[in-house]
Amino acid sequence: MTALALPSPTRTSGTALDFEALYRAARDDVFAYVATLLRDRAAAEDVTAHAFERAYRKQRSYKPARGSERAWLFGIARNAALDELRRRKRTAALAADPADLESATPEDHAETALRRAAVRAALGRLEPRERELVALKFHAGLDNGEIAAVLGVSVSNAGTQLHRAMTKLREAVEHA
Amino acid sequence: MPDLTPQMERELAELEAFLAPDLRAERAAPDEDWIRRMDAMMAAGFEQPSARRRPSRGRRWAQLLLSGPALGSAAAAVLVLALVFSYQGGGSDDEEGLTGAGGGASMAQSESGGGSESAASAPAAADSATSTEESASRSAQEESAAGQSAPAEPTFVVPPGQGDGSPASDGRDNRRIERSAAITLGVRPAQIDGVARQVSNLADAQNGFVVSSTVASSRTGGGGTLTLRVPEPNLDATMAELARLGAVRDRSQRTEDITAQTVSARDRLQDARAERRSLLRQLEDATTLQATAALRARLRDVSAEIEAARAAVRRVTNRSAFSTVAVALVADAAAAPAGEEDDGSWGPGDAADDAVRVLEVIAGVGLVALAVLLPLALVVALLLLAARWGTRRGRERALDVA
Repeated sequence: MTALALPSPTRTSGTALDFEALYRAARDDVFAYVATLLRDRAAAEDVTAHAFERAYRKQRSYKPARGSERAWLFGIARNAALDELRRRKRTAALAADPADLESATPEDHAETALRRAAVRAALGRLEPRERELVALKFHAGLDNGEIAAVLGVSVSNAGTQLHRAMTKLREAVEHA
Repeated sequence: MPDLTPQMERELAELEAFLAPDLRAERAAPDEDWIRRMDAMMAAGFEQPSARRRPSRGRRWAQLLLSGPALGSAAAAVLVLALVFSYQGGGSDDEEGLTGAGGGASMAQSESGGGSESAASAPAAADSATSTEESASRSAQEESAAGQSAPAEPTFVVPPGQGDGSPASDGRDNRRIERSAAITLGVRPAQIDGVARQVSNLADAQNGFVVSSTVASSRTGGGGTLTLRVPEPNLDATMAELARLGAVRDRSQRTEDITAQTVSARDRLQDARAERRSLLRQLEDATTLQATAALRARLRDVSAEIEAARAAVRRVTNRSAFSTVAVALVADAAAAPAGEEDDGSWGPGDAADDAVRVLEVIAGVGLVALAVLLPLALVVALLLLAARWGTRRGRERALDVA
């Protein structure tokens, strides 16, 4: 990916936010997280763009003491996604896009394909909050501390919730 | 929710190792077209957002609330200005109160000066009595200088009629003069009690006494009136000392010639005594019981007349021997401290007083503004917190139903 020519972003002296680097590092992760949350690919694109736009405008408000840049960005993305959910007032059907994108190739082993189908189904049966945790962990690549910062809970609490979600997920996969 | 135990951490690590490949395989990847659009937006600094959205309900609430403080500040500013102007209006009321107090003092002076006795005296006494009033009203001068006072009404002097005076009373050495005075002092509210005590002490020091005293004090106002009786020779000294106790707002003196009343009272006494002596002589020569009884009855009446005449002589003598001084104390925060006589010049002391006064006013206005703005800010803060809490709750609820 080529470097982007940014129009001299305005930053306060207290923040050392490299927005371009953050954008390049987190763009796909934010999209994946929002897509899992909204379960609507088109909406995820729009909301992700809106989240980056909002983050760009609010980059002065970033305080390093309150968490990492990624946690701050995903907090904004989360609010944008939840606002979208509130606005739509409807639950979108689980987007089939992830399955299409990761559709099994001829080289895939049949057992692997079956297990991934089971995981996908189990993921769809999780509670929205549990699914969000999985998305933050495995689709966005956040560690437990960043997840805690995004959700506004303690690190221990985030770990406990994640443990519960993962346990449910494994049980669902094993019983599939 | 229980804390993450070490065992749970180990289990979580195992779960992640078990499911991570499949979960990561479910990760949605963006389209290349979208990535290109995003990169272009990033390069442009997101100047043209992807979709101009209508502000969310929470943002609309926030905008509404943010407009509240502006309206509240404007209302508070108007209120503060109104209070400042009403405070200045209160100053005018004080000035009016001063005038009223002065008027009251003059009235008290007239009453204590024996005006009723003068009115009850014979017309000859009224004819012969001459009164003069001197007024050294500093407030009038000050108000005139400030351009606030109404033009003073002209004083008409009426030429005296014929027959004023009499050979018995026109001797310069025998003149009897009744003098009274009134003074209005502006005193700082906190010093009203102290100044009232000083006035009483001053009356004692001048061999006089306090006839009546009414003093009321409060943190921001108060006032009082005192009526003194001092020996007439000490009147000028008393007035001079009183002027040192506060800012003189009004001062007046009244002089009335009561020589005729004094002569009249003495004449009545002498006449009654002469009649008594005559009756006593007639009683010695009386030969019948009836004549004796009639003379004794007349003697009783004359004795009563003598006592009344004596009392009248004492009263009229006392009126000339003692002077009545009416002192009015009015609250005036801008008055110089008691004991500091204002010579009219503006010096460093006055500047310091003015500076303190300005600071007091600023502090007062600030306090009023704070009293208005603090509850307003609290309400706005609570509304903002409530709006934020509502937005957060709405978002979480939206996630639950997703």
